[in-house]
Order: sequence, then structure tokens, then C-alpha cells
Amino acid sequence: MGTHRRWINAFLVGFLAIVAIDAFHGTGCTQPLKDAVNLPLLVTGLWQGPWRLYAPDVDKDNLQLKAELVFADQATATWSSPDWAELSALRKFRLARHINYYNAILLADRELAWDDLCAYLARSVPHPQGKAVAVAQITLSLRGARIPPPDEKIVPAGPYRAFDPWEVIRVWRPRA
Amino acid sequence: METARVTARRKRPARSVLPGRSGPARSTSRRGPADAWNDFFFAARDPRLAGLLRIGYGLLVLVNLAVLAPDVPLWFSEAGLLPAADARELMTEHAPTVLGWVDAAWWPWLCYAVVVAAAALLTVGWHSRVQAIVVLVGLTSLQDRNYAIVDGEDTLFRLFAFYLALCPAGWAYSLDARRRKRRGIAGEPPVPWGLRLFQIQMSVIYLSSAIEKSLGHDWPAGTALYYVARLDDAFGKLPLPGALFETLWLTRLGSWSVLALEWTLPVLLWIPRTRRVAIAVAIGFHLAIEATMNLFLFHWLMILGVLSFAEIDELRWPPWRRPAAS
Repeated sequence: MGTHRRWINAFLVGFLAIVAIDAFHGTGCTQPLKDAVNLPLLVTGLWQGPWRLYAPDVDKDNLQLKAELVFADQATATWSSPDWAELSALRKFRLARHINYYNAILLADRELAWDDLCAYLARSVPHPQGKAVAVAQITLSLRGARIPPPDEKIVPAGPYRAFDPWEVIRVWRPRA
Repeated sequence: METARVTARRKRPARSVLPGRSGPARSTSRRGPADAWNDFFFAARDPRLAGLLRIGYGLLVLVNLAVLAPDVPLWFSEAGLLPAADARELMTEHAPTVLGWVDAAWWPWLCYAVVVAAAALLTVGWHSRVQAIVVLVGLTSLQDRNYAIVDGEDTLFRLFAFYLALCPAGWAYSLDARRRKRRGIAGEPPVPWGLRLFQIQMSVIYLSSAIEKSLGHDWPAGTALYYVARLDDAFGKLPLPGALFETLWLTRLGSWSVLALEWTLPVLLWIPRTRRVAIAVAIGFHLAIEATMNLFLFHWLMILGVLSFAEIDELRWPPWRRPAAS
């Protein structure tokens, strides 16, 4: 066996061990092993973690965001996150990253991202009369439609849209 | 040895030969683990498959980047939805990202353009290995800059770039091959051991997903697809009869079938007798999900990964057409 082959073998043994630890660490391996392989995986861009793919359980909430903007002259405007149920498959394909974004920022402990969304809306949502007036306040609201379990009630297939009332999750004001 | 000879030998594989292995079958009775390892990774195999995977992968990266194009400032600039400092605070772990090197509005565009160029050059096979590495670094940088828009397919995009860099991806169907031919460089076909990493990765994905699903409640209970069919963002591509997801036993059957497939495919794809059927079933499985759900390019990447279990002569269309004589 040539030196070249030995190097390849050494790489394969090491790499496959790391992949196993990374992909299955939640199911038996100890955390110290995962911690040990984390840095090389991050540096090389080769991390993967466990493959969840709608596991362990499927999300059961359809969520919508709404922002009510109040401008300095008391004019108001409303912005809403995309209504996914109304969009065509092609449009959803185009907005695939947006779907990921809204799902990600609605996770717990993502208030920082809500502030960034509000700051972005303050810059990008136009004044209703087209005036150059700054936004004074944004109220960010969330509503969800929780899919009932089938043993409780079987609802028709398709987007479940029995939304709860809007709930204010953030009141944002621009920094002075 | 010419590629044609490797191909010709592959047409009549011995039954005892592992998938993808060519050459006379050896007795397995006295082989140790080292021999088995060497046979598994380093047995001769037609390297043209790596070229096909390279082209498929390159096209998918280009589609991915094309969809991203209108939103480059939105996702990756300070004027966008997530400033760099906050993006880093939202993540606990970070890969190195070149997007943080220069604080200018044109920098994300330049980085994006470099990845697009590398993906295009990878697709046509110009210095394929180098382009695969540039694509890996570029995609890792984009993903680390805004992890909020990333999901499983982005992980696959990164990993496949790495595996392509380890394959003789430019050996066939490429400008690299044309250049080699023009210069009269002859040589034995390289051993595409990197293709094994594609195969192992696919098995890891199925197995990991099967384990994760089995640890939850919805999949073992058979109610998972009931919920999936009511999600407003991911579900609802082609019209389907509502009864499929409103009749509980059908929903259970569907959910358990997914679970059964994810448990069995990592085994069946490796067994010579079941390999072809498993490839067909896996492709059908991913096409079915692709037809019903909006999961961007994930299932096309999975199909590409499944094809790493095939032999180049099996990848003809229509499938019943005889392979061309070598």
C-alpha cells in the first residue's frame, strides 16, 4: 500500500468517525465527543448534526406576523408576512428563503431578530401619502392556528387557518 | 486501462460483487477487515458517475443562487433584515465567513458573484476540484452570515461540494477531460473513492432521520402526515385528493411508510440484490414528496445523492433502452 493510500485511509477513518459523532450525537454518544469534533467541523464548513426532517414531531402551528407602523405625523401603515396559503407553488419556491426566515425568527429567544425586522420595516415601508416622514413606532403582532390533533377533531386537509386573535409580541421605537 | 474497458466489465457484475465494484469476484472467505475496506473504497469503478453528479450538483447550486439573487442585499447586507453583529449573536457557533471581511455594500455581491462563477465552472468541469472547494467556502460563508434562512438542503449543498472535491469529478463530461485529451495525457481512470462518501452520507441522512422520527410521538403514532398536510408554508404543491389526509388509516399508512423507508433504505441500497429496486423506490419517494411539498431543492439533492448508488450504464433514459456499446 502506497503512502498516498495510507493518507486517504487515515482521512477516511477520521472523517467517518467524526460524521458518525456529528450526525448521531443526540442518540447515544456523549456530549464531550461532539464538543471535540465541533471546531474542526465548523472551521471546514462540514457540520451536519442530526437530520430531523420533520422530526421528532411535526410543527403544528401556522403562524402569521403583522406590523402596524405609526409615522411621526401619526399616519399609519400595515405590513404582513406572506400569506403562504394564498401563494402559488412557484411563488413559494421563489420565497423559500423567506419561509425559512420567518420560521427561524419565530423561535424562542429571537427577540433580537424581531427588532431587526422592525428596523428594516421602518426603512422600507413607505408612508401612505408618500411623505418623507420617519417611523415613530412599530407594533409587531403574531397569530397562530394550531392544528387540532386527529383524535380530537379531523379538520379538512389543506392549510389550517383557524387563527387565534393577534397577540402583540413587540413594540419597537427607533433609537434616538 | 481505458474507461471503456472498465465500463464493459461493469456490464456483467458478479452477484457477489459489492455495488459499484468491478473486476473478478474474490473469495470472501479469507478476507480480513483490511481487505474488505480496500475493496469497498478502492475497487475500480467507472469514474464517469462523478462527472454526472458534478453536473447535476452544479446546476442545483446555480438554481439555488439564482433564486437568492434578488435578495442578496436583503439577507447579507447591513441594510437588510439581519445586521452582521445580530446575526452572530443569534448563533452560538460560527464558521469562518468571508462576508465579514469587508464592510461595504458591494462586498456581499462580490462574494455572491464568486460563488456563482465557481458553480458555473464546476458545472462545465473547469478545474473541478478547485471550483468545488470555492463553492464549499462560498456557501459556508453565505450560510454563516445569515443562518436564519438556512435549512437541511444547505447542509447537503456544503457536504456534496466537499465530496465532489474528493472525487475525480472532472474526469468525464468536463473541460478538464477535454484539456487532458487535447494534451494527449493518458492514464488509468482514477479510483473514485469519494463516491463512497456520497453513499455513506445518504445512509447517514436516512438513518439519522429515522432515529429522530422514531424518538418522537407523531411518526410512531402515524399522525405526522396528518399535520404536514395542514401546514400552510410547506404543503400543497400539486392537488391531491383530500381523503388521503382525512382518512386516518391512510394517513397512518403514509406516515409509517415514510418511517419504514427511512429505516430500510440505508440497508437496501447497499445490498446488491436490492440496490436497483431501492434506488427506484428512493427516487419515487423523493419525487412524491417533491410533488406535494414546497421544500425548495432538498429532494432534488437527495435524488442526486441516491444516484451515487447507481452505475453509469444504469443511468440511461428511457431506462429500458439498452446501454450503448462501448
